[in-house]
Amino acid sequence: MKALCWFGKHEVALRNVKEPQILNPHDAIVKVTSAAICGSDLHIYNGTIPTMEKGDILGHETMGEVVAVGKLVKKVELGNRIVIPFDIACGRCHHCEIEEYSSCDNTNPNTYLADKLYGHSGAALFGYSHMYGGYAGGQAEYIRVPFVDTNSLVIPEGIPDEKVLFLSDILPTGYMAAENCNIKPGDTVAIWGAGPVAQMAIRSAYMLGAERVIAIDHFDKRLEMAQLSKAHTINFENTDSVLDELSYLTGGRGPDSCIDAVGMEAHGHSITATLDRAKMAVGLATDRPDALRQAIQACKKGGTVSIPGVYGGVLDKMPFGAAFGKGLTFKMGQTHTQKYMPLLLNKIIRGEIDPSFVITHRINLQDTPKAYQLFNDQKDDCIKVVINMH
Amino acid sequence: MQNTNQLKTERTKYDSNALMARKLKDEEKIHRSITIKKSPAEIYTFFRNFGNLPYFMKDLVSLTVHSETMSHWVVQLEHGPKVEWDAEIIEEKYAEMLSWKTVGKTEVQQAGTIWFTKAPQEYGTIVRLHMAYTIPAGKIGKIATQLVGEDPDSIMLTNLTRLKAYLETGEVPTTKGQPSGREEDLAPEMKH
Repeated sequence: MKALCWFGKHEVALRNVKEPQILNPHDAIVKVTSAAICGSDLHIYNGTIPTMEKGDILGHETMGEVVAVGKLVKKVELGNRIVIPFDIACGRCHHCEIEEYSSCDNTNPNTYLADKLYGHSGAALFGYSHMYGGYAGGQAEYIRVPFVDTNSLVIPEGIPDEKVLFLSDILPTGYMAAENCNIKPGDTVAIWGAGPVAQMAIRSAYMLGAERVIAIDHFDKRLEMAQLSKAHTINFENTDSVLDELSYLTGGRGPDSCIDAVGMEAHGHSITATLDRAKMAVGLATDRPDALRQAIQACKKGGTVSIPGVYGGVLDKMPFGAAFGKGLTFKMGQTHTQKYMPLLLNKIIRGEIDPSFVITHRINLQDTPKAYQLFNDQKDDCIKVVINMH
Repeated sequence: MQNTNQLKTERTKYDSNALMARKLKDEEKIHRSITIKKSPAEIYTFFRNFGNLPYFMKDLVSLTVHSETMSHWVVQLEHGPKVEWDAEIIEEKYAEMLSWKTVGKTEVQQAGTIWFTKAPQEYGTIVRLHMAYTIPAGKIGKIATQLVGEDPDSIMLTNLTRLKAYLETGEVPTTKGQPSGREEDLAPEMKH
């Protein structure tokens, strides 16, 4: 089968590889019908995610048709059309029982890597480095799905792929980011980044009762899209001070909650952002957290900073004094996708949200390497790429 | 009070293990614990049936049970040599603990105890493993084995993690045999 493989910084290519097999009794094999490229795939593309190996198959936003099941699979059946969450959960450990699926104890075969780097290992992820399990991803014609009864959402007939594909990651991620803000009626939520996760977070924040959402980015196309979702927008390149602007817009109080939907590769132009780039280049830092610094600085006293943006390593110059001085609450982490999928499918069926509005590019697998470059260079107003597989 | 006594007893047991291990030249020690969502009796029963151990123990090639207390172990390290030993169970209490030591001549002398105690709330059981061992300097260099996660401490921690996964889910997670774009994994017609 054809699969999109990683070979190094800015090097991805299609390879003709063996088809996946059932390896464990709770596995299924899925014939992929649609997959997407995620903003977090760009962290891998840019070489900032540790423990990648040449030849790893990428992709964690995947859906398709079940074509084989292991002997202990009970719920999922051959022929089912399923969306596959990006995190792999066993469904049986303590964390899975309390719906903390992305903290699953039992799916990462390489826990010793994550134990050493993070203290404890979280759930394995599809196509996202060996520290996160080294599982082959879904930008391929077929994918093996472990514990498929837990890691799937069966989609009813008649709903097109594009409407439900993002249940695999960005819709639950945006929703959990908004839920983590603990929004109360009348609240203002500020979101750094207006990429796909932020677009989902804007709509989720409104669904959860926010009065106003402010989106901060420097790409016009993304800001236009945010405006269509009724967000107030700030282009940080055309603003003297994002912090002053946010303070002005909130009567000096600051946003009630701040979402960092950018993560480790912020494109800021501040002095600290420039220093971050220099330090990463010489290996003194791993992440560029400029969006997070601003979010902490902007947030109101006693407010919440919610972080769906991905971080991988050690952050430099964090304004922890500001966080402490204002008594901020921090909520973050990989999304417990399985917890949110059924709830959000219902919202899609009821017409409360149609996440396909973020799609700007539809391609076939052959064009995926080019699409990575396009997406990474932010050319052609690329916001979200969907790969039609079969 | 009961807990204190229990801890004291366990401490004494560990000391006697350590004493035994002290006879080993240049011994190393392992202290590791893990929480498993099963009862102490379930885990003990599973573990005491040595026929179950190959289901989760990394690199265990064969385990032959000779009697109620004697067994022969063969381990082939992924990046290292093959090692063998005879082990004898020297103490056991149903649903509580199991102690063993190697007997006869072997390159990897060891003595260990595994305890099963009820965890707070609904967490299940805390499994604690204490081991003392010697490894031959030339054959398995300590630093070299740590680099590939094949020093005994890393192996035993991995084994506890795998025991937990097997007992809680019925399988040990793996990616061995999955596709990749690496030369050895390419489809046959693509190889050159």
